[in-house]
Amino acid sequence: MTPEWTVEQRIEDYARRVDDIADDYNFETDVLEALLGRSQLAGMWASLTPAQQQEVARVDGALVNLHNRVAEVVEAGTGHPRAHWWWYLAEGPQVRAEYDHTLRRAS
Amino acid sequence: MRSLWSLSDILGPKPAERWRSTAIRVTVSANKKQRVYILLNSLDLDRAVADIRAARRIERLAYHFGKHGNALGCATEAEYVASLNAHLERDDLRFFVLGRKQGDLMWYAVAIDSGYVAQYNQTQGKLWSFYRSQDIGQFASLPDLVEVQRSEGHWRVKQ
Repeated sequence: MTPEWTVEQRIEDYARRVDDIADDYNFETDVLEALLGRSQLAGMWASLTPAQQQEVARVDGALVNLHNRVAEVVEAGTGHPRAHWWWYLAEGPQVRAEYDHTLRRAS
Repeated sequence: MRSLWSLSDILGPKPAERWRSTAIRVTVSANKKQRVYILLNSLDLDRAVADIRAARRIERLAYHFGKHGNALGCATEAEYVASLNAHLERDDLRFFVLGRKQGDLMWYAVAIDSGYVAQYNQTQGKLWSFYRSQDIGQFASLPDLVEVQRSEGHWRVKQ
């Protein structure tokens, strides 16, 4: 039976994928799997420790800086909720800040 | 009275620019997928799938083991290769294809139950990666992927 992913494995996988997006070798797959992994982490966000959340946020920053590469692979949105701003990076790096701003206004 | 309005006039300059760039990407994306359909329909897909199943040498083994071995539960490169070979021998793999920017066709041989994926670069005739997807269900539903499935004894593009 295939063991479940641990949170640490998921974060490590997300970080490695984002690290490799700048490399042409397999960047399309790295983009797709990074976004899929980030959505998984969003689903378990409340169970992440503050240090884990901080690490994910650090990787998020690196992903935002690669928004042009993401745009080469993924159209904005494609059925994902706006809260999953990483799927909307084709619109530009501002999507993360826009979502954060919306959260702050709501709370 | 003015009778001709630009997109910028109606939406404002920044939203208009976003709309224009999104519209261009949608058109390009539709053409990208269409190109994959055209390329796949020109191939002997039975042969293509057979080639993937028979492939055994993976590019950049140390790199891929370092990147994916942990998630695959593999402690050594030998275990990683053994896991890849066992994966390719499964008779329930699903096959998806993505057209790359450089023009390569990238195949993904997927096991839905485990999330394990063997990647094969058809244009170069090489195994490209072996990894575990964090969400194989969503991966298999990605709009840019074209599925190749078995029907009446032969592999065909799923329309």
